[in-house]
Amino acid sequence: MNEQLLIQQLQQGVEQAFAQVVDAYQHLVYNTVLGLLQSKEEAEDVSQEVFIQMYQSIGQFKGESKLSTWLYRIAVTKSLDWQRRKNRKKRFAFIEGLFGADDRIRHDPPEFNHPGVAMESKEKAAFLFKAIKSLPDNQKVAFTLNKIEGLSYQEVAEVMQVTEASVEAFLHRAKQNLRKELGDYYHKHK
Amino acid sequence: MEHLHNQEEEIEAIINSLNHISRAEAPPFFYTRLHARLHEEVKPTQLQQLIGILTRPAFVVATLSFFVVLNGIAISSVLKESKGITESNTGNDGTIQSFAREFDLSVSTLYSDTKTNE
Repeated sequence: MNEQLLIQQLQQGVEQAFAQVVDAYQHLVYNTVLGLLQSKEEAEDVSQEVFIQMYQSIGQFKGESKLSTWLYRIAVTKSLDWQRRKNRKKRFAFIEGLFGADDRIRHDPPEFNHPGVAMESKEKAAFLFKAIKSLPDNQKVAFTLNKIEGLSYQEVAEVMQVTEASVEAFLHRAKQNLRKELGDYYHKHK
Repeated sequence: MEHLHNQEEEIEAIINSLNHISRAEAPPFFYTRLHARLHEEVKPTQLQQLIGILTRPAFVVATLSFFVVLNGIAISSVLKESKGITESNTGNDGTIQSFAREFDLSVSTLYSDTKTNE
């Protein structure tokens, strides 16, 4: 179906149009969120939030960008918000732990294995995902959209609402930081 | 030197490990769960929306400021009014006294009348 027509139907609240959009874009949204959050359970929750947000604010969608670009933007914003909330909770739990208010032992999640990585690269990719976690948000987003979602520089620029030159700079700095992070890891473990 | 070269090669290999990654797929029945969640999130009623607006900090602060300004205006107008009355009282003092004299409204006259009657 034509995207314009689909958006019109969505704005009129046609449920079948919503089902069609979810069917067409669920993997795109899930993969983006999974790349940023590195947890399958959290990725499903946040992906659902992305579509709920889309359903509730489709009236504000002016059609200036593609629906997929808009969905990428919502997915990125929701994932970063989720991560910030999680970090705040972690800090709060740490302070609670200091005062003995919360005695539960909190474990860091085990290393993340992306289901789309080939078997022979799984070990290396797990190191890389660990290092990606340490990147600043804009570098992390640019790297995830480019490397994991396979978007071009121009598409990443549209999603992040920056210039292509900025995307190039983010990716260049991301790679530098990853080299440094992985170098430290190499020294510790070899 | 060779060790450093190996390290760099290995790091590059790690960075390139996502080069042929394929897209992860959303879990099965994703839409079914999403649909259920969407219908669970009930839209707030009109009363809840109204309460939401009334309890917004911006609305509360604006209302309080409005009443403070209203009180200020009322107090200043009352003060102005009382000042005006005082001024007019002092200004017309002679007139009132002459009015009283003219109509003979002094209390002592009434007393003297009563005493005379007794």
